[in-house]
Amino acid sequence: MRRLLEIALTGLVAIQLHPLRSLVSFVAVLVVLVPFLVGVALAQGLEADAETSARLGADLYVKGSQFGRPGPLPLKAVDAVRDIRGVTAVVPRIVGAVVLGKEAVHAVLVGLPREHFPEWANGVEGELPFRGQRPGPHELVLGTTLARRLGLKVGDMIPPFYHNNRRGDRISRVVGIFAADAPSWQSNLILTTFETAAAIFDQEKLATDLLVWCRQGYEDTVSRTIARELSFPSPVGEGIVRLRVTAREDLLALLPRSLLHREGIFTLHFVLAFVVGILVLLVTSGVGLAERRREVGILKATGWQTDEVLLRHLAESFALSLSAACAALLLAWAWLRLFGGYGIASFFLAGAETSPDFAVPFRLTPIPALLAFVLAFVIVLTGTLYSAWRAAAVPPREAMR
Amino acid sequence: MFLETQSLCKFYRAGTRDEVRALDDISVGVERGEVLVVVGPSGSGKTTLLALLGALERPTRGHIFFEGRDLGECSDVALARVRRRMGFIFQDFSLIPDLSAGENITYPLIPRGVPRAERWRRAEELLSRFGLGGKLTARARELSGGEQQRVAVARALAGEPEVVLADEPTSNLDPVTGQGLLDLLRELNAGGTTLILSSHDPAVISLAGRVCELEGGKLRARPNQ
Amino acid sequence: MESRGIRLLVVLLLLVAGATAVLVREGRAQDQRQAHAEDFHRLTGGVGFGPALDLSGCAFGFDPRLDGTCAEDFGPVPGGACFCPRHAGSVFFYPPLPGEEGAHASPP
Repeated sequence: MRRLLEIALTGLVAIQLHPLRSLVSFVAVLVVLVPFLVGVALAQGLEADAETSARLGADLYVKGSQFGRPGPLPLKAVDAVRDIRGVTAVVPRIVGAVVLGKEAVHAVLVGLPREHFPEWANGVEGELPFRGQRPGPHELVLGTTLARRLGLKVGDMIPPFYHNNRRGDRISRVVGIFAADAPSWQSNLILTTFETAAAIFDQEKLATDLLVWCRQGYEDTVSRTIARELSFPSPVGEGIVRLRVTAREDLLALLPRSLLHREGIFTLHFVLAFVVGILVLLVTSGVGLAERRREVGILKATGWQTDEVLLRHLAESFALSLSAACAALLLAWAWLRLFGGYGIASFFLAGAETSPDFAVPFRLTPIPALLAFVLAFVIVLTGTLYSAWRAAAVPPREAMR
Repeated sequence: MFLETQSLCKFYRAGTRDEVRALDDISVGVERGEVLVVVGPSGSGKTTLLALLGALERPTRGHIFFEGRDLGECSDVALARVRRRMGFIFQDFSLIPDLSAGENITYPLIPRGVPRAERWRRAEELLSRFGLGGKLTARARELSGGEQQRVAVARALAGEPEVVLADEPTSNLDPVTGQGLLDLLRELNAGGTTLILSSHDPAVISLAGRVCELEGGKLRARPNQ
Repeated sequence: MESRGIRLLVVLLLLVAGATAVLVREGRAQDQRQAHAEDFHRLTGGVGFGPALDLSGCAFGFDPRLDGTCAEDFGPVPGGACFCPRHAGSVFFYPPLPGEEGAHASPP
């Protein structure tokens, strides 16, 4: 055993004997692995956040439907849904798109009834919109990207940024800003009261969706009842609005399918990267090949067996790939954690800037790290072991020649 | 016979128009403890004969017997075990250039299972004996030709071989160091080590119990010196 | 010296330790992030699911609860489908919600 360990140790020395070759192999592995780990981590982080969003959201989401497209709902639907057996709470919500400032920053405006807000939240710096009625400007909680792009901080006033024909105060005040490590969807979000959202969009007595909570086990019945039995006259006075329901389970069911798709895309990407990596290493294994071949010949001439020579190269490949995989993991972590996914987050998150000012969602877990090591090992091994075996399989003098 | 060849042939590019007959029908034997010196002009096949005797190459035809075992029928593992009982001094030194002198000497001892401390003790002792006491950690590529030659000799002797095969062992050494090596070889032989040497050096030839002369790949016996 | 191998072994072990520390640290960092995520979704009623940060290009990519399908998704085309660049350019792709592929008749 000690003898085998000592032979393996000479494999570590071999890394230093051929620094250029080792460096090229190391860099080739990093080039393949770092984007792989970053991509997997981002996709897993996003997926985990999506799962959290589905689990922490309402049991059912009800929205209007006209011509097969989503549309608003009249607020009287709230009472109709609340009356269904098994429903415990119904909250109307407005979710809409607004464009702000000279730079035309796209934002998502979410309005919920005042009483829905707690008094205080961990994930918000500053305050939440006031729960009760009080005169004064509209109260907004902004996402981090939005606040930075518009140059706003807590307490700042925002001049009127929307048009409608109603009277009243149109000044808004920033009461809070979401924490940077809240889910990334906060980055361009404006959270406000239902009334403010209705005023901004100039849509009275309408909601874009209803959040419905049910007693346990009633979700299916409530969902069916809403879809089959409820419809309302269209807000424009012609036709009817039917209701569509999205259950939490419908959302959660998307995740494994997205996972499969992601696996497919990654397989495609990394089969290509893998092939390129191996080709690069086969080319680079030509660097100093004659020298390595001669080295194998010398070792064999001085009493090394073929399997001992191969063990030495196996140890060399193992150490090189383990160090490359660990370095790739550290680099991927640094890229995502310290540099906030600079340059790559925008590939995974539509609407993210090159340097996002929110914590990009990512999860570095042991399985992709292990997979990275296996990939690295296969790549490095392909570049080293075959040439070593060829040199070790011939008589020593031939290898030394 | 301790080491013996029978009708040994080594042809390069065999069967082509460019065939080179490095050795042709060589039959020679060495008894344990004997000193055999192979002489002959350049290109006569001395190096090839030593490589075949050292199990570093396979013959095109014929047989090599080591303690009666035909090396042509030995497995890779068995051949490695035979090589561990031999020490080979190459004419071109054949050191691993980026390893230190000490590592070059100790590496062959690792598969033999020699403990680390003992490996380095032997390396230090041999290098000191050849006047290279301070060069233990120097890289082989940084050494002069003569120094490399001495490291190569030290490597061959570190494994305490039963037979030493040396291809022109004194060719790169100054007369004093060369004489030191010959004294050491004589001492080894006195302890029972078999020596097979190739050389033009009369001082080396003077060690011989028997001299074989090669010419054009064929063996010509010479009267004992 | 053979100690070169031992030095490299130490470097290798440090790298492995660093990578392990990162994995452990990230496992713990998720707890803080989870607390903020809970707050966010409690406040908004659950907003955001897909790989888009606003509604400008594809509401479906932002959250399929707002729009159960993407009008920009076409398929099949030879070799696959023509995906909406706002959500399928990402590796995080998910199909439309069941029953949301377009207009559908009222349930009986």
